[in-house]
Amino acid sequence: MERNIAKSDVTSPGLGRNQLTRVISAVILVVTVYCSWLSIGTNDFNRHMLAQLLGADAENSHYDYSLKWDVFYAFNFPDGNLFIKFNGLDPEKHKNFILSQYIRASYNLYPRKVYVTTLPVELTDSASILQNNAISSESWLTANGVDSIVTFSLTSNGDQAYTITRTKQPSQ
Amino acid sequence: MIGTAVYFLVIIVLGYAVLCAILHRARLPLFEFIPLVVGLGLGFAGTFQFWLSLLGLKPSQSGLMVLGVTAGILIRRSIASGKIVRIQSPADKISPGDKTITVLAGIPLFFALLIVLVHALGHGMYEWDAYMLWGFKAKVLSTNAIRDAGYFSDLNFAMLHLNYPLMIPFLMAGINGAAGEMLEILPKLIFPIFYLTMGMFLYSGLRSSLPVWQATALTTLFLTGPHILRWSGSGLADVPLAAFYSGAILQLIKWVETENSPDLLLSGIFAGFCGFTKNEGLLMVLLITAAVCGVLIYKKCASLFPQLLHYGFGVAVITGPWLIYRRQLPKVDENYLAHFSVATISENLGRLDFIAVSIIESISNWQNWNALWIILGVLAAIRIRQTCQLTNLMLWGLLATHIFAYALIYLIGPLNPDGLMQATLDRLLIHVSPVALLIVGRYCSGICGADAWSKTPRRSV
Repeated sequence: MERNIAKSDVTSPGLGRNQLTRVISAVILVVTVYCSWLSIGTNDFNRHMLAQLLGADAENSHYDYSLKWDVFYAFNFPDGNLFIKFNGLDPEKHKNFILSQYIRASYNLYPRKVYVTTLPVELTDSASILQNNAISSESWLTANGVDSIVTFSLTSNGDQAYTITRTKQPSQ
Repeated sequence: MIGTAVYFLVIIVLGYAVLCAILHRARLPLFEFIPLVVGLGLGFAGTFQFWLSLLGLKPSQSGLMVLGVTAGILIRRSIASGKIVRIQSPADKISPGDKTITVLAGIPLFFALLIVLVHALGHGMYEWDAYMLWGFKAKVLSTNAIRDAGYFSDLNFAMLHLNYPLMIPFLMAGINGAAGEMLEILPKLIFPIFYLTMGMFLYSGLRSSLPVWQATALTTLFLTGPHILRWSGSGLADVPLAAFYSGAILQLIKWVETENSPDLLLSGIFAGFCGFTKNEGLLMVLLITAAVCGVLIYKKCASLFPQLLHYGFGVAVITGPWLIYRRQLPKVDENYLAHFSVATISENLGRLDFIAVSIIESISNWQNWNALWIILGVLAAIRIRQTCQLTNLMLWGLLATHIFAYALIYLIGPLNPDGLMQATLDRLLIHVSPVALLIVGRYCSGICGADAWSKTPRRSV
């Protein structure tokens, strides 16, 4: 038994249908192949991602930036929780840096914890992080299993630098 | 790897079990069968894992077994009662010429899929939003049941939008659970699968009114669009959302044209998946609900009104538990609804020019979308009479209100739209573009004189 299917509203009278069909078909095909080639063959981002996968040295991509810090955190902080301190950074000028360090490190080291504050406060942006970015006490660090502190600061010529302080030596 | 394979097998079995439970004894063409099974499987896998997590069970091999066995029992019962969905063999033969053109039009798809695979599986989570919104939550849900995860109430993570929907994190966590370990890259496999599912949904929608090669060419045109390619494998939830939305719209179109209530139920379920995938999905639920009500009013058929319950049931089952659960989570997102007032709108009216120009610039740049929107504009201009047909009117209504709603969000939002639109507009337009493609397909079928239902045999019982 066939379900009752209404003949829909998509049919239409075909004036010069054959010619029109051929023209439309040719246009669709040419546009499809041409656009696909442009999109696939000439797109910088796609080419870069492939080159990166194949081991080529390509800088300034999203991936390079994330990877650089992934390696930094994985290599330097193999154990325990981490506290990140920001000294002298500007909440506007260094907004992306502050946020990405906190979030990328948290993502990377999970299920270990990354702290930027010792308070249970709502952190919504770089300004709120900097406002609460203090270590209340040594005992807080111990109680929360913080083995290392990384401090990001600015050098005299404005470059970013970091120092690592261990509260406990990493196990081998 | 075996765990991941089993996971996807369970997804397929689950999707088929649900499909059998809804469309008893139906016969579907292969191109309609596959996206329905995979789409339902993905959606229910995410949803069920959320429910299990609420009960205190994190995604794991044993949870996966429970899902697989339950789905298997459901299929067995369907077989026993003869209520199974079968694949219908193709009714029409394709000429060798058409076959060649189809292959030619389809070749770019192969390369497009390769690119999406490179983005997804060649790299870890490299996009800010991808790891901040979805990847991190996936890790959390892999290690804890949601009710035990302190993360969701940790205000130090307020900027990670703790109350964002969890479909994608749960699907990714499912891969970790199936593997029994925390994997970095393999959970991203769901993104190429969503890309393919979206493509198959759209092909299925186009194929219902177009010959094989035209449907293939238009699907290729869409799937190889730079914006679609750019975000499909990146780990963001926009393409999965567009995939579920495509499923909801296709089932809605089918219901409009057949008035079969299971189609509306399926539309409701896919709309529910949208609501559990991204906040924008809740807007989609509203749009589809409005479309259903509009069609019912237009048809003036009182006997169809009870079918609204099917739709509402589908939406409520999927989004209900999530919406109830999220009420206890800290509200730390942009909360656009709170800004929705006449005062805010009039205060920000100066933004309107910029917002309109940005949207028009994006869709009129033919390289962004492989000329999709330009083709749509041209066809709409030359086929204006066809626009007045019910289904096309409904699709245009959905398209226009969807774009208008996004424009409104930029208008009332607390952030300046300049930077925000630059970062998000192309991703938001991905949500809208499946409807644009379906309208193009309908215009093409009108021009080429194809009959919507003569090209492919439809469901039979």
